[in-house]
Amino acid sequence: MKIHTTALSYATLVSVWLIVLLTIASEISAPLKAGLVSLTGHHWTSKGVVLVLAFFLTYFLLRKKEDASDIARFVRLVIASVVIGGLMIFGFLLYDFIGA
Amino acid sequence: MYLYLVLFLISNIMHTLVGLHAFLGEAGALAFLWVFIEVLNASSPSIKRAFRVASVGVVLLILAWIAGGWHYLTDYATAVKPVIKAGPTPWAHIVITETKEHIFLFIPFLAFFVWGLLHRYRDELMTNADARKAVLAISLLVVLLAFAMAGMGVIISSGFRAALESKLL
Repeated sequence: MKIHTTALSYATLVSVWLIVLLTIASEISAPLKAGLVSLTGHHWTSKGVVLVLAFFLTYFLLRKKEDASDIARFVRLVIASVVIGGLMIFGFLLYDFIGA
Repeated sequence: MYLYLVLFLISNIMHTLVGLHAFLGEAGALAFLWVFIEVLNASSPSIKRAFRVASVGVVLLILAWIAGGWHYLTDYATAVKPVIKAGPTPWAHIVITETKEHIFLFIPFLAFFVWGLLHRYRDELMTNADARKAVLAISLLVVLLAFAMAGMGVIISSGFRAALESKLL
């Protein structure tokens, strides 16, 4: 089995941004948080399940496409996403705490 | 008597879970530091070692996820979180724990990304500078994030201790 780097890169990017989106959106939207809770009993567990599913779904959907092999660009995107996404989560929670 | 025994067992399981989570997470971080060093001086044997170590690292980080998650959903939620929130540093839970529990989720996926790159490129890493730099950069990111988690864990423990001290002193 040969790993498809483009599909793997997109799967990683989708997972990172889905974490950021679900974290912030579930704090803003009570129905979304309740929906996540209803899936597994806890919103954090549901986020984990959704992320794993999204990761593998993205990989398997994109693995048939041509492998661009532009790994340097993907790595820059992944690092930028982790840094910006991480700061967004921390910044949102800090803002929410200060504003509360 | 039985109540004390139950409390003793609960408190020991709680500590065991925290210790296990920290050990697995830091062992996973060290595994990716090892991968970084092996790929820095890439040769055919070092790439094989890096792949094996990355495989172990991915498993360690997934187990750290399970151990940390179990603690977070059980003992932390019932015994630690309310104490921190009622103490002098509620931000230790509201900001730091909440940040940690979500940013942690990046790590297993990034670790799997490194594993996938090592699996895909193998000996090509000796000649393909972009692929080698990619493995180096994401491995280092895993190490830095894992140690950042440890730092946040210290802040959360300090918040818990401060809350307990404020009740005792």
